[in-house]
Amino acid sequence: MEVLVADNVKKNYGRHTALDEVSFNAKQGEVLGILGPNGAGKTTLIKCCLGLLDFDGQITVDGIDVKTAGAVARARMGYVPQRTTLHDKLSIIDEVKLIGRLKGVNDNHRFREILERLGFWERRKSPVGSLSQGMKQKLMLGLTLLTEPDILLLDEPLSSIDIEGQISLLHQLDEIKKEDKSILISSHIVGMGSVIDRVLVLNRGEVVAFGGVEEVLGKLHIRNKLYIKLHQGDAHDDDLVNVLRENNVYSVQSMEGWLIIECDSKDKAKLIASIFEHGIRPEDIVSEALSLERHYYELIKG
Amino acid sequence: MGYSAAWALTVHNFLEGLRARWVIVYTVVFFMLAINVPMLVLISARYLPPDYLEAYLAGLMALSFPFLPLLSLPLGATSIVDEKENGLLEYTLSQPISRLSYLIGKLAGLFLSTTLVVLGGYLIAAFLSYGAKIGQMTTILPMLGAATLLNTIMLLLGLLLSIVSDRKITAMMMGIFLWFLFTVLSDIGSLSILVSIAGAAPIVLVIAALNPVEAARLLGVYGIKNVGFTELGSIGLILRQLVGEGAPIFILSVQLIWVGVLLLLCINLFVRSEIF
Repeated sequence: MEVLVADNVKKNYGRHTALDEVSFNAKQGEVLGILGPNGAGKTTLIKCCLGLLDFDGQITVDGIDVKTAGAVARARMGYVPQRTTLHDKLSIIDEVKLIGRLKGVNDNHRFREILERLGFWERRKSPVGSLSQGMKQKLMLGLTLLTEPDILLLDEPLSSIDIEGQISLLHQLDEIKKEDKSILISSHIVGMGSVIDRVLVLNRGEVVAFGGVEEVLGKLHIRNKLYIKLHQGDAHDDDLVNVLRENNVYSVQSMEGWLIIECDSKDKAKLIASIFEHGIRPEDIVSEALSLERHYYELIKG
Repeated sequence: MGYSAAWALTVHNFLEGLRARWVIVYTVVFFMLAINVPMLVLISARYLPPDYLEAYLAGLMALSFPFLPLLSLPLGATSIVDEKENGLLEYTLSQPISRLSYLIGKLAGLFLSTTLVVLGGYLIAAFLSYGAKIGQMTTILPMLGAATLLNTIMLLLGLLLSIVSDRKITAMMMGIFLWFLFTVLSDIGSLSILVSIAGAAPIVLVIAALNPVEAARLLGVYGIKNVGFTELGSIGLILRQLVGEGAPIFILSVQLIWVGVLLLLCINLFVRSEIF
């Protein structure tokens, strides 16, 4: 089910085109990564999704047009901006109450539940300004959950927090994903590869690639690799190549005693089983998963 | 949802307004201005006539009204642009509220906090220091009404500056310039010259209309019975000559037009313009 649909979104700042006919969708329960270098249009796209900017084209959230019913659409969304700005002079509990009431929630039990879940209940009377950037981000992420939104929009969530904060955030995202919510994450550094299901790659306002990580990398001829080292005299390379061809591999190369096989990740287990079925006992098998981080520059260049 | 969000923002901005350092400092200074220590000495020594309150109020308005904009103008001028600069505006508007609800919440909260300071200052001074009775409220009410109107106009003017500015310092400087324009430049410069030039008197109508501070003072003074020509001042006298008994209505209409036009401008610019 598609939670968010963007159709031919175009945004200009004067003569500068920030977004040029961007179309994509986000499905229920998936993490969609918006990747691209600085100035690619990631933040502009997120602000358009929230109905904060005027734009050409259409964006709907659960079928609600963000241009004509922005407030209603925003009730289905949770947003964590790049800058972790909250009301520093307010206490944590007062901040939660304020944002809750802006979201239409005025339930003290719910406020307590969220603060306990985040581990902030004991220090609820401390000023928000006393929190670190990572803690503020954690609080902001928690605030998005006050209303059980269908989709979360996170703008550059890793850019201003330390390693510990990043690990904590990834853990939180995993937990949220289990609740079948959609998550849309923008990032100029990748780092989120482990949680991303599909990816939208932007460069200079244009969509460079959109789809599953494997699909997008596959279009760039970047595929999963399986490295197999054979015992000397165990089998002839030719025999093995014949076995591999039966399993829809993309290519096989031989290098310094290793066979380098390009294949889909779903076929890896079947491929290995097939090798053993043919009586071949490799000395070593190494599987290399596709990595957004490793192929980032190839991605953004398209 | 729109109502509760606007109400939540009203309460938040009201409390934030009262907590603002500038408002606390201003409240102390304004209260000292309102109680007017030399007058207290004269009252306690019984040197003042029984009807001193009316004469005193006219003097108090001339003294305190030029300083009234110093509360709401900077507070309004920095309110939205400050949130624009630090990212809070973007975050707040990303919640399920409309821009109109945000603006209403902001305006209502600031209006309540500044009005509380202004009216509180005058009323506490009237009841505690001067021993004013409830029966004398009719004498004080025109001043309170004029002060509230002036405060509202200055707050809206400040908000307008805040909406059109990209930087807090720019909005603040424009606010201070407007205060200087209303209280100093228009008073001692063009007005005195215009009044002295034969045939130029009708222009005073325009000048009075364009200066909410002077207009508010006149509105308050017109509300006092047995007001002398010194309290009216040269502009007040010319206005009375030109408009006759309709002078207070003219001034009140002008003030309400200020409120209406500024409110429409604020809403139109904030709701329609590209903020981010």
